[in-house]
Amino acid sequence: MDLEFGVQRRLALRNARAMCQLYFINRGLANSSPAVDLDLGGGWGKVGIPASAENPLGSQQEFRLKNLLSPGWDRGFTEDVLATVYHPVPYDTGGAEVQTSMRVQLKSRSPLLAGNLLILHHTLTNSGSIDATISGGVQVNGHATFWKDESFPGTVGNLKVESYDHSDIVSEAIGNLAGNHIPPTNYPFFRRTTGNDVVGATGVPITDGRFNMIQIGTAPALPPDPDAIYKKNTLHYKMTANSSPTVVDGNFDYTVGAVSGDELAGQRRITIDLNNPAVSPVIVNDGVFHIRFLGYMDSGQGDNEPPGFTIVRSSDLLSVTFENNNYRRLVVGLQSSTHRDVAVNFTNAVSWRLLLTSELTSTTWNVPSGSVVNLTGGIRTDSTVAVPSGLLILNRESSPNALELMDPRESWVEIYRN
Amino acid sequence: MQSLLSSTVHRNFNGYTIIEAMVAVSILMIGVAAAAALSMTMLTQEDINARAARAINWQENTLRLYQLGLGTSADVSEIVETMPGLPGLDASGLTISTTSTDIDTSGGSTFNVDVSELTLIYNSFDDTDQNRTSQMTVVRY
Repeated sequence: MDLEFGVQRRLALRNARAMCQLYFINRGLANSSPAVDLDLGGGWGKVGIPASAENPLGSQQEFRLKNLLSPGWDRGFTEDVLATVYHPVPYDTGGAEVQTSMRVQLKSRSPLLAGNLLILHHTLTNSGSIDATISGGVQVNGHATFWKDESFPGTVGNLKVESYDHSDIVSEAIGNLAGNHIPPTNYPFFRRTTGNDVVGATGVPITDGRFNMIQIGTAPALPPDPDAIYKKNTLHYKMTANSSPTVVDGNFDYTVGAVSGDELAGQRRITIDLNNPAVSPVIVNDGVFHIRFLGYMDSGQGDNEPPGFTIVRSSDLLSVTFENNNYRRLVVGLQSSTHRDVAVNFTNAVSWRLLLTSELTSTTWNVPSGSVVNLTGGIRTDSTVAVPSGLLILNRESSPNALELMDPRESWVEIYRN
Repeated sequence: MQSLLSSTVHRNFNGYTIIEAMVAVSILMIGVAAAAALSMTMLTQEDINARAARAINWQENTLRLYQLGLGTSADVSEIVETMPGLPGLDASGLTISTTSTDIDTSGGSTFNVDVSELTLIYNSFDDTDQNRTSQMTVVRY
């Protein structure tokens, strides 16, 4: 009996930690958390969590700050919460409990996942999971993380990475930059992503590796309350919070600042000139089939310009073309209501600063055969990334002021005995 | 005569009768038998304890691996199959249930977690009538 009491005590402590962690991951984007008691019953785990007034994954939203998308209010440590674990007293029939205090540290930056340049999220649609793959010549001069479903192994092709991690069981080997197979840096970790989806008009937490970070709500209109907390940690909210966007659609046939519209083979094309200092956030809606970005070519001045923002919420988009090199930070979000493929083309381009987030949008990167294109930034997607020819290399920002641009969905909770 | 008498008396004081010897041996044998019986009981108890320790350790390890993410969320049977066997344990000795459970947060809302209960029925001795049941519950991260 004493042995069983000992095991129960250990498991109850672990259960309390697990419930505590899950609770805060579910509330990673919440403004605050009320005081709660979580009781598994039967002496298998009970934890009391005090109220917290912090939003662990809140981000800086000042448009022209360099660290624009920094999570956790630009701090590594965000909030300490003292939770109380309750243990039943063995052989006591009166329900007596002893208490243990735990310190819960809510962080928004995972030290394990630092330096992520390629993140493949779990894809789940109304029609089920999508077998998103990485194929062709992709090289990651940094870390890669796969949150995808374990039911789709063997989908990374010839991917080369410096290091990688995987949730779930993985039965495939990934090569390092020299092409030799390397193991992940750690055991498979449980999914610890955070975020929100919308059911009806209410935000609900999603923590299973999916992400929904470009814009939450029924396209193209926002749900009634655009300031609802479940919408705040989206690219759309951040780029429009302090700046008026240029909204374009299939009827946009003008030139407004850095944005102009014309037709390509009878289909609407939007050109965004990153050399124009007046470039503002651009929202591209249905009716636009092609987007062309003209790169900012002054390699020494790129960091002095605010990042360019473009969000595409179009189910009509067919291609994105990058012309010339670009040394200005560019944040692009591709979102589609149904899964679709978009061609990414390069014209006279070998180096681009680009932070791409694509949701339900697979991308085929048409790197000229035998050529190399360097991206400085990263790719976060839940869909396929294909490079049928040439080599696409992902590099990390070298300037500390430009690091950590990738808006995260990984939450990090550490729990210690107090 | 005197010496013969002395000799007889001396023999009477330094010897034991057959009755005395049998009584002494009987007492000794009772003690030996009790010690032997206690030893057997201790060995049996030790065997039972060892089986219980192995079973509970096996059960705890299974749940811990499941808790850390191995196996599907549907059940923990995949992990169970990879664990070393236990004497007297077969598939009929396992009851696994994994449920998605709403926990009352005492604040009017509920909190959904993935809970697995693993009930292990194992043979604690070489006797099929000596089954013991151990039930454990874990929350998956």
